[in-house]
Amino acid sequence: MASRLKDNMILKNISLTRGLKTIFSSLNIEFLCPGLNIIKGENGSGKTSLLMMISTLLQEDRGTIIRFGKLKKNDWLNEHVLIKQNSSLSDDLTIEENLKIWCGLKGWDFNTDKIEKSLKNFGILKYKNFLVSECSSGIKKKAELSKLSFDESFKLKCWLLDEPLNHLDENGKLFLKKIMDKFINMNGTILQTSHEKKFNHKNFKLIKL
Amino acid sequence: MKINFKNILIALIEKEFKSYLRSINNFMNMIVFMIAIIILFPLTVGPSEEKLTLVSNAIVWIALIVSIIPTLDKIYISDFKNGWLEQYYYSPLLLEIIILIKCFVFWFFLIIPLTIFIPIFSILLNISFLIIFWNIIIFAIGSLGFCLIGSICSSLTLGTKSNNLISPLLILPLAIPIFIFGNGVVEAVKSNYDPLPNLYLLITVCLILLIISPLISAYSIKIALTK
Repeated sequence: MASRLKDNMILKNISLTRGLKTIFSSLNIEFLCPGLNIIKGENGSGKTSLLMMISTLLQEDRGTIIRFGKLKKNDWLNEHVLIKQNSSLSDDLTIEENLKIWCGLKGWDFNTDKIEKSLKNFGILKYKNFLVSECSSGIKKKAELSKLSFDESFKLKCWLLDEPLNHLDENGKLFLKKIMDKFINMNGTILQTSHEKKFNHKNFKLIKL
Repeated sequence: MKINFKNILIALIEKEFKSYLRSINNFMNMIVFMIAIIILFPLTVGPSEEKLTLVSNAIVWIALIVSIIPTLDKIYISDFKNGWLEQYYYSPLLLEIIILIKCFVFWFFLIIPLTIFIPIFSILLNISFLIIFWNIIIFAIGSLGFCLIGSICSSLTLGTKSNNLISPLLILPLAIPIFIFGNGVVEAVKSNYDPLPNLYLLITVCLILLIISPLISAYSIKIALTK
């Protein structure tokens, strides 16, 4: 645990272009690790691209990203989770099946009790047998975020959350805050993009793009 | 953190199986398309039995292939749109192995059941039982090759708007060796020659594809995801 506390996440002189558009040039950020980092910026300022780049889904053109010391790419993939703004659930499967298979693909244990407990926390247990195509955006978002309340998720180093509060009701927001606080208390790092004006969290680092 | 690779395999097969089961329409489309070709072809050839005997084997093959090709370019598209390919990318299992499993599941659940229809259509077209037997073997092996080619083409056209147009153009030239050696087996049986050399060549082509297809597909998928 002590070595984990020393770990840090730093972006050094990062440049990123997508197509003809330059998204960042010479970006330098040192994230609060462990802790909550809230990334704010206008639409199109590159918040999602930043998370995707940290997650290795986008390749930076120039610069260095230090992800928790010298973590190898494959280890990093197993040590973080990216929850994107749009649902990444399969329409052909039920919510329970989606979560079960997601856990399986991560190599984690999956059983019905575990999934049910997670869905119950977000108050969507009754929708577990609904096909994703039949669910509203709010339910999909809650199903997506319930991936974070698995025991294994708290053992990760980092959560990358792309506008997690979109489509969420008050109860959903409260429970999300609760699990985020729990994760930070367990020395986890969260990078969250947001358009919210007020934040309920006590300590966080605000990063403006 | 402890990673259970058995869980990954079970989850992957379960996902693919359930997705195919729920989109049974694709399978029904293939069968309807195949039946349409088998019925229409003899009508256009005419009532001559000699002519029909000459082309009957080709009709079955064309019906099978033409009905499979439209589904081949859809191996990855739905997973790409709903973000599952990203989940595969994040999985501790190598993307190449995941692709290989996806191809096998696609072949097993969608293509192999089609071989049941070979004897039925062959009997309708008056094809001899010996040829039917060889057709089933060739089709079972050759269709795996088609799936692997489909995987390459499907992954190459991910993210392009006109993938429906490009995929068949990419698939057909790559599928020619399978056509040639598959047909070679049947011709050898018809002429009372040994069909095994052509069969071995067919298996060789499939084995080569088994190695190169996951590598190319994984590379293309990574490009499509990270562009």
